[in-house]
Amino acid sequence: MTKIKILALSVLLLAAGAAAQSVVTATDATQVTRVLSANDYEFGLDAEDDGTPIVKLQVGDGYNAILFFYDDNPGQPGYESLQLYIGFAVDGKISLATINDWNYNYRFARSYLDDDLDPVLESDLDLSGGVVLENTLLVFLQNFEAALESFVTEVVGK
Amino acid sequence: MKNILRLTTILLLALVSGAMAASLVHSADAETIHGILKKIGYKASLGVNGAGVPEISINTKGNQIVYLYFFDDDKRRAGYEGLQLMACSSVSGEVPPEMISYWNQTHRYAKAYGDENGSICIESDLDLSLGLVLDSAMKVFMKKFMQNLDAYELELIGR
Repeated sequence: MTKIKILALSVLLLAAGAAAQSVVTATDATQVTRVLSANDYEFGLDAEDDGTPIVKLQVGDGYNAILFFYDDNPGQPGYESLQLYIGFAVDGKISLATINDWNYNYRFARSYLDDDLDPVLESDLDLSGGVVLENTLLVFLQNFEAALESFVTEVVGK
Repeated sequence: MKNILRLTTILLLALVSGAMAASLVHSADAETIHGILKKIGYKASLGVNGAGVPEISINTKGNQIVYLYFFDDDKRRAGYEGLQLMACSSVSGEVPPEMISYWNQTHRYAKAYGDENGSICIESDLDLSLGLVLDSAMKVFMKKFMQNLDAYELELIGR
């Protein structure tokens, strides 16, 4: 009987471990905000006109960024990809040459001047290949914060 | 009693094999990546650059050479954590920088820029340290880059 108890306990432990580290190919606002809360990010959950969630969060040294959700595969539940976005209102004083240099020199994010000629930094994360959400989301945020640091110094601060 | 033990063992094995089937990687070596590319149908050649770091050249259907570069972002970990796909094309005449910026505004998963040789390049990065299922992550990474490469050729390079 003891053997059965030990085996049953092992199964439960394994199952709990698997649940904690489960691989996902899509996510939703509940899962994402749970990760943000657990890791002390300041954020607010909102929704676009069509009901798609958006998360407004603080990254780096208190910069306001937006996390967008993309339903790339409407046949499947959840959102298969995420995008981090941050824009800076600088009255059109950033040159396209500066933006180009930044894109040439840095990885894991892309920059451009938007319709108002304001600089934007963006990064995309595709979940559809399979990830452990918490680990992946945290590394995604860390990479974006590292890119943002250089972007603020070399683009926005110029 | 024996049946319960057997059933429990089967359950355990199923759980463990399920976890292994979806095993995550945080880095990879060049041979593994080369093998995956060939398995999913790309004509890929593995070589090394002048610094001894591996690189893979991939021939696309449009005869564009795409390079896959390896980045050892975490020296404490074996293998390479960062992968980068890149292709560059020389263009006749200048591509307006506004056009490149607009391309970056309207596409995801890749970026375009002009390099010091006057070429227009497209680049996309994959961070394996995110913790990914390698085969499927590589499939998605390649598929999205090839889609972006088509758009880059059509919209920026003009062919």
